[in-house]
Amino acid sequence: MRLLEAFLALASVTAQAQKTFKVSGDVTFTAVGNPGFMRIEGEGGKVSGTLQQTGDMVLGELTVELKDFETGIDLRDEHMRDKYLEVGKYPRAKLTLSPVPAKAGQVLFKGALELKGGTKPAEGGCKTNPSAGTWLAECTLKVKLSDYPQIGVPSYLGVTVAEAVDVRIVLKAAP
Amino acid sequence: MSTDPPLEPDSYVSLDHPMANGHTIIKALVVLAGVTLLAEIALAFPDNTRHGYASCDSCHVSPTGGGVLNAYGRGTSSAFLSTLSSEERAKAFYGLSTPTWLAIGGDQRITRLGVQSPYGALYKTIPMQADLELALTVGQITAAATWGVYGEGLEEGSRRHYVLLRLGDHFHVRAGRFYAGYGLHTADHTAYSRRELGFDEGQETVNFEVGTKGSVGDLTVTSVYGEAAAFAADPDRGYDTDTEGEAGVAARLQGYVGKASLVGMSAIHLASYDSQKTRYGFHYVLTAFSWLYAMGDWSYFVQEKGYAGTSSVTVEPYRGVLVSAVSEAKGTAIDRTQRLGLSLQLFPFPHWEVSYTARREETPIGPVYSLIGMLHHYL
Repeated sequence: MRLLEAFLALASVTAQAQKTFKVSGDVTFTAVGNPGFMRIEGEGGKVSGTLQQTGDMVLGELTVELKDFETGIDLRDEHMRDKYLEVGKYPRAKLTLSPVPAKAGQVLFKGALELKGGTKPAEGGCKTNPSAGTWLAECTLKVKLSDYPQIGVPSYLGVTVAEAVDVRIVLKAAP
Repeated sequence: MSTDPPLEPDSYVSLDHPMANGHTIIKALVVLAGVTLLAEIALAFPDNTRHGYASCDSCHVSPTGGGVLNAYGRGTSSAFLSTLSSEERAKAFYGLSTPTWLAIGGDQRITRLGVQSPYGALYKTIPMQADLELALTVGQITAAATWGVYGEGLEEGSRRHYVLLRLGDHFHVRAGRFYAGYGLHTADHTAYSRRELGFDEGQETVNFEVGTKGSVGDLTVTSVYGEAAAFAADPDRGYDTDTEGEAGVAARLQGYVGKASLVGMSAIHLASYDSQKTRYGFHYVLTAFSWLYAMGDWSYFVQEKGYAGTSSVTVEPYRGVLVSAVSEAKGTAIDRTQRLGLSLQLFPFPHWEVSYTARREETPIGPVYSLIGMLHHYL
């Protein structure tokens, strides 16, 4: 009986130590087209997911619907969604975070990014700001297109998108 | 504008001012020369910075813009510049698929001009340009040249020709006849920011240029060897390849700011046997939204202690329909001229541009009003 009580007490403590946060926010990306170094800005991505905080560490999954991105030019959007990302078959990207410190300020993270059916290691940095039980964070990571050969090399009439795409996530994680 | 209808097309129709005489006709013609030839050439189109295309050679073969379009530039004319899209018709000659080593194009422009000055009204139709341009690329080397007829006299010649060596994505060198990199090089060559700086139509110079660019900006340094009469067809002298006029150096540094804006500064120093010209300038394209942006290009004239510049705000309420308010000024310590304008620019479908511009300019003889319609077809 005492053993059962002790187990329940431990479970209770564990449950209290683990917090779950619901994530919402915006995702944008910047790519460069060469020759000419033209800037391609993707906007409109919405991030969602959950983060679990256990003690001083956080992990979780974030997803973004790829069809929501717009670059300001319809034809380019069409190529991005239908020809390269094939959002009909692969509607979302998923970032799975390995445990990272739950602290304010600069935080480096590692994880895995799933994109168009392929998963590759990903890493980046966040600037976090806790406020009244809620976390605000601005995170960046680089996506190397060559890590996802199934996407292909985005190219149109002699202009090719450069290898590295900068992704920016501005999120809010609330209980 | 005068309400008097023209008695004959393309002629002076009203000189009812009390001072009208032969002398004033000459004066009025001088004024006309100042405001005419508005039509826009297929020059650099820095407006496309609003879509993230801050670098000229995103769309043009020339690193500093203008002239024949590359394949991507033709694609953009369909993708976002023109009201009606047609990727196939946007190609050269309405559907010619050229190999990657060949770019071909050409421009035809005609302007209808009406001017009301204190001396009377003038209506005129001006054929401005009909030319072809070829650019051949072998490896990293591109050779480009125009040939055609220009201006009212339909003078035959080549206004732009150069050999360009690209050294990767970041560097280039170029030699030939073209505009030195300075300021924005807006399409309107009569803008104070161009005409007062010596970048009017036909004022391309013989240059040697080096340039570098990256995702944050670009730098161009140009050694200028004179305003060429190069290759102008002269019935007495044949094809003249001499250069003449001022020589010197120009430099332009631009930074790409935010998503779709740029700011830059320029300097040029030119000298001839009896004069020196030094100008410093700054320019910008600031984009609030892709349908609302501001451009400006202003220079200080060191020797004259003067200035000249052009600012504009443009709204694009519908794709291919651009409405701009333009404010310009030029002056010295003792003289100042101002010009205000409103323009409507239409790109109905690839290969076609129509514009209408109304202007009021303060001149020494009084206000001059002008209304200009321009039809531009590019191959």
